[in-house]
Amino acid sequence: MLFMSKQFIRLLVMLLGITLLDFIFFELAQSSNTLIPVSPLEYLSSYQQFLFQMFQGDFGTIHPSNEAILQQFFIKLPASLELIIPSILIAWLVGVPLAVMAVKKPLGWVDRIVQFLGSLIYSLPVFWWGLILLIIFSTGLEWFPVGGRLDYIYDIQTQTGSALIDTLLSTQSYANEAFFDALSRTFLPILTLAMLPTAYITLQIRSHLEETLQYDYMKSAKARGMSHSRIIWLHGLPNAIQPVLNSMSLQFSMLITSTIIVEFIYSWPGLGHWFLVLVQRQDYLALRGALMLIASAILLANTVTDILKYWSNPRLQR
Amino acid sequence: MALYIDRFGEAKIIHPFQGLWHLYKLNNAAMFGLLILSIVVIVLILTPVFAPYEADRQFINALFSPPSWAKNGHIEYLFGTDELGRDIFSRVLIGGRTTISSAMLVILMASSVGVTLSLLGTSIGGWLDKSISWFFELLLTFPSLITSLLVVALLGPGLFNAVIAVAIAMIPLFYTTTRSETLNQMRQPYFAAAQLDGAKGLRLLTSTLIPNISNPIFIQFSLSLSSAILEIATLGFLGFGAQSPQTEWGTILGESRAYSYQAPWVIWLPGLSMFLTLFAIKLVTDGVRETLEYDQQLK
Amino acid sequence: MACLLSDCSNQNSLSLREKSVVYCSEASPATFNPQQSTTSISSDASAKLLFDTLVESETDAKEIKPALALSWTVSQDQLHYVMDLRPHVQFGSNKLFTPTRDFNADDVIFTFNRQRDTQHPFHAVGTGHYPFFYANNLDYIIKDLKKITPLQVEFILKKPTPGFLGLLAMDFSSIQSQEYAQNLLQNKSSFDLFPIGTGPFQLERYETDTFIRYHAKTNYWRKAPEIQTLVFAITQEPSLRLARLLTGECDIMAQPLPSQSQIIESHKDLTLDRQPSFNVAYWAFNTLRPPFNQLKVRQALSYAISRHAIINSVYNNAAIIAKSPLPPNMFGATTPLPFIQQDREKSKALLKEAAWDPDFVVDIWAMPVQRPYNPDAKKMAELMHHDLAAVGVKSRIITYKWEVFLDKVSKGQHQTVLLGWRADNGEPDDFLTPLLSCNGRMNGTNRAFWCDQEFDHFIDQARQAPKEQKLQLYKEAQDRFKSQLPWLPIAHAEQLIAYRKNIQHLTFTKTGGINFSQISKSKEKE
Repeated sequence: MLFMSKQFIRLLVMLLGITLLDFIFFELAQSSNTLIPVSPLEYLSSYQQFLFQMFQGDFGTIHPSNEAILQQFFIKLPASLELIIPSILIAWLVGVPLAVMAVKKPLGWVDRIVQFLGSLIYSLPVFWWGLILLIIFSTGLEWFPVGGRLDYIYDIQTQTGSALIDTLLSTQSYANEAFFDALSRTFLPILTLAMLPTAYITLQIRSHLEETLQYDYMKSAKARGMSHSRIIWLHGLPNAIQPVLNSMSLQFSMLITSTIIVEFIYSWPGLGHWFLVLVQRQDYLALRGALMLIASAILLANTVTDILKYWSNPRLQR
Repeated sequence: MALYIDRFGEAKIIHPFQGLWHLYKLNNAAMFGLLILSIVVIVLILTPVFAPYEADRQFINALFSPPSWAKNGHIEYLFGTDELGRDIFSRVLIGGRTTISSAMLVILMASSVGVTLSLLGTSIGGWLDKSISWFFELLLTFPSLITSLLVVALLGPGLFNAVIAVAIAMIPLFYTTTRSETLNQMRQPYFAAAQLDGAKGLRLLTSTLIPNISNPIFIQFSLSLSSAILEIATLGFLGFGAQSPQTEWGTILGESRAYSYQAPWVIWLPGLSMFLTLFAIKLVTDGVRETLEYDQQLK
Repeated sequence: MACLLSDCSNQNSLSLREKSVVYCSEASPATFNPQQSTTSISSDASAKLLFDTLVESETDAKEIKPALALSWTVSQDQLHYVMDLRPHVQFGSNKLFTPTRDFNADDVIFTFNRQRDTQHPFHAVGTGHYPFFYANNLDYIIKDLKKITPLQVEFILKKPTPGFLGLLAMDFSSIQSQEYAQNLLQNKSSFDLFPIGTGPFQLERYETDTFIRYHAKTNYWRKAPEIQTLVFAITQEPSLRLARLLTGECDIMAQPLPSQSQIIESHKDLTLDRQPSFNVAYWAFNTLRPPFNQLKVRQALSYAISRHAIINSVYNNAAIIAKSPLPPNMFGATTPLPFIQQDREKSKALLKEAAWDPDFVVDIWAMPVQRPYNPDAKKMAELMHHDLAAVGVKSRIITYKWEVFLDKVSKGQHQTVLLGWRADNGEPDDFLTPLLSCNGRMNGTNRAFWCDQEFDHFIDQARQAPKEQKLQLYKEAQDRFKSQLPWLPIAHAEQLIAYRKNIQHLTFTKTGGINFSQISKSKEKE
C-alpha cells in the first residue's frame, strides 16, 4: 500500500512537472510570433489559468474546426491502441517461445538463425519497412488495402474511436462487412509495428536466459533430473523476464516512436498522426493541450509498468 | 597485459587490445558486421571518389531511369535516377554522409552535455543534483521522437535544427547512464579505498572514476549512434529534417513516396543502404559488447 | 480487397457501391463557404455541390443563364437590376436546422449584406475575409439591395458595371440561408462549419483531413442527382491516391501526377482526362523587398530559368510555357514580344549591371501541396535552384504547411514565391485584378505586392470598356506587365483527372472546377 501511494504521488509530481514544461514550451512558441514583453507575474497568472482550465476539462480547441482537444484525444486513443496492444501481445507471444527455442541449444543452428534474424529485424528502419510492405502487399500483390482506416463507402458513426468496435456497434446493414474491412486494414500496420518489439524481446530474453542458465542452481536442478525444458520454463524464464520488465519504459518509448511513424505511413487516425498534423500546422494552442494529454497517458503507462514490475519481483517487495 | 595461447599452444604476452581483438575475431556475426561497416566507412569517406555525379545534378533526358541491372537501365546511373533525373547512387552516398555525420555530431553534442552535467551533479551532490536528476528522468519517459518534434516545431525545419533537436532529445540518455554507472562505481570498495588513499576532487574523477565508467559510456555511444541515425532520418522522412535540395537518407525516402508506382527503386535502394549500415553497426556494437563481457568474465 | 475474410458479394454493400461515388481529393477544404474560399479544393467541396447562384454562365462569359433567378430586368441607366426569383426552391436541413420556408429575397439580401456590411452580425464569422467580393470592388459598386416582393430583389449600383451579372454567376455569390443564420445567432461559427444551401447535395459529415460525406437531396429544384452518396476521400499523398484509384476504393482521383499518366492510361478500367485549363503558375518577386524592387534583378533572375526543363520534368509535358499571366485560350490574351527565353549570358550581364551581391541567398518559397497549376512546387524550386546556381546566384527553398504558408505569403513575409491561379470565370479581369492590381495588394492576393498605376489604369478601363476596346487595353496591360516583370509566368497546366470507366457525366467547368451534380455510375464490367 505504501508503495502504491508513493507511486501515485510520484505520478502527480511528474504531471505537475510536465505542465510546467508544457507551459514553457507554449510560451516559447508564442513569443516567436509576438514580442510583447511580459512581466514574470503575468506568466505566473497565465500558468495558473492554464492549470485551472485543465482541471475543468478544457484542454483547448483545434483551430479551424473548433473541436475540443480532450474529445479528440479520447477518440484517437483507441485507434492507436488497436495497433499498440496487438503489437505488444505479438512481441511477447512470439518472442518468448523463439527465445526458448534458441537457447535450448546455444550456438546451434536455430540459435544462430534466431539471433541473426533478430539483429536484422531490430535494425530495420520502421519507416522504410512500412513503405516496403505497402509496395509489396498493397500496390504490388493487392492483398491488403492501402492504408486508411475504413473504406469510404461505409458510413460508420464514431462512437469509441476504435473502428473495430465502432463497426460492431453500428446498426447499418453492412456493419459486418465493414468490420472485416477494418480488420484487414490492421494487418500491415501491426506487422510493421510489431517487428521491432518482437526482435527486441526475442534477443533480450534469449540473452538473459543464457545468463541465468549458467547459474549453479540450474545445474543442480539438472542434476536432480529435471528436464531441460522444465528448467527453462519454470526457473529460467521468470528470472530472465525480470530485467526485460525493467526496461519496459524504454521499450514503451521505442514503441511510441514507431507508432507515430506507422500511423503516418498508413494514414491511421490515431494519436501519433494527430500529433504530427498539429506540429505541421504549428497549431501551438492545440499542441499545448494535446501534449499534456499524451504526456499524461505515457506517464500513466509508465507508472502501471512500474507497479507491475514491483509486484512481479518479490525481491523489490522487501 | 594479457596472456594469449596461440594456435601452436605457446603462451604469449600481448597487449590488452590485441587480446580483445582475438576474442572479437571469434565472433562470426561481429566480423561480418565489421566487414560491412568498413566498406560503408570507406565509401562514405571517399565519397568524392566513388560518387559519379553531384547530388543535385539533373539529367533531364533520363528521368525515372531504372537501376542499371533492370531492363531499361543504363550503366551510367548505377542505381537509376529519380523524378528529376538525379543519380540515385550519388544521392545515396552523399545523403549517407550527411545522415551519418549529423548523427555523429548529435552524439558528440548530447554526450558532452549529458556526461558533464551528470559528473558535475554527482560531484556537487545535494538537492541541486537530485532535482536535475529528477528533471532528466522525467524527460527520459518521453519518446525521443516527441521531444525532437517539439524542438523542431519551435525552431523550424532544417538539418541543423534537426541535429539540435535530436541532440537535446538524447541528452537524458547519456545523463542517466553516466549517473547510474557513476553511482554504481562509487559504491565499490575500490572507490572508498582510493579516497582513503587521499585522492579527491579532480584526481578522483580522472584517475579513479572515469576509467571505470568509460566502458558503459562507450557502449552507450555506439548504441546511440544507430538511434541518432534513425532519428535524423525519421525527421527527414517526416519533412522536418533536412530540406531539399539538401540530401539526406530520410529526406530522400520521404520525397520518393509520391513516386512509389513510377520508381519503386528510389525507395528500395536508399532504404537498403541505410538498413545495411544500421545492421552493420548493430553487429559490430554487439560484438564489441560481448567481447568486453567475455573479457570481464575471463578475469 | 478485403475479400480474404468476408463474403464480398454481400448484397447490401454492392448496392451501396453502385449508389455512391468516392472522390479522392488532394487536399482538405479550408472552408465550406464559397464566399471565403481561395483554394480550388474549397470551391470544389462547397460551391457547386451545396449551393446555387442567381445566374449561371458556364460555357461563355457572355451568355448568362437563369438559375435561382428566373428572369431579370436592367434599368436604362444600368444602375438597377431587378431579379425575379424562382419559387419553390428548398434549402437543405441538418442536425441543427430544418427550414420552414422556401428560398426568397431575404436570403439574397443576407448573402450580399454579409459580405458588404462590416457591421453585419455574420461578417466576422469564419475567416472574416471575402477576397472575391472585395477584389472585384463590389463594395464600391453595390449601393444597396432592396426586397420588392418576397420573390423579387433589386440591386442598386453606384455606377454602370457591364460585367455585373457575370459576377453574380461566380462562386462567391452563392446564396446562403438567412433563416439558418437567424437560428444560429448564438452559435455563429456553425453556420460555415455545417453549411446549408439550395444545391444538389447536403453536407452530412466532415472528419477533419480524412473525409467529407454528402448525400444527394431528393427535393433539389433541378433533376436530383443519380447517386445517393458522395464521399471526398482526402488523400494528400499522390501515390496513395493512385493506389486507391487502382484498387477501386476511389472512383475518381484528383490531380494525378503527370508522371503517373502512363500507368493510368494503360490500365483497362481507368480513363485519364486532359483539359486545357484557365490557370497559370508563376514565380512572383516580392517587389516590396530589395533587391527585388529592382527591375534588372527581376529580369536577370528570370533569364536564368529554363522553363523547358520545368515543363518536361515537373509537368511531364502536360503544360505549356506561359508567355503572359493569361492563358492563351482566354479572351484578351496576347503574347507580348519579345518573349523571355533562358539566356544565361544575359542573366549574368544583368546581374552585373544590378551590382548583384554574390553572397545574397534568394529564398524561393514553394508550396508543399499539389495544385491544379503546379503538381510539385518543390521539384520546380529545385530545378530553379540549379538554374540559378549556374549563373552564380545562391538560393534556398522554403516551405510550410499549406495554411501556414498561405498566411505568411499574404502577409508578405516571402522574398519570392511559386504560386499560381485558377480562373473562376472566363474573364481576364479575374486573373489580372486579384493577382496584379493595387487592390489585390491590399487584399493579399497580389503575391508580388506590385502596385503600378499604369497597369491599374489599363485594367480599370478595360473592365468598363466595350468589347472592341477591351482587347487593346488588355494588350497594353500585358505589355506593361512584361516591361516591369513583377513575376516570371511559368506555365499553363493541363487539368488532369483520372476516373474509373464506369463513371459518366463528370463535368468540368472551364475554370477547372469539378461538377458532380450530373454524375452517374454504371455497373462495373467484370
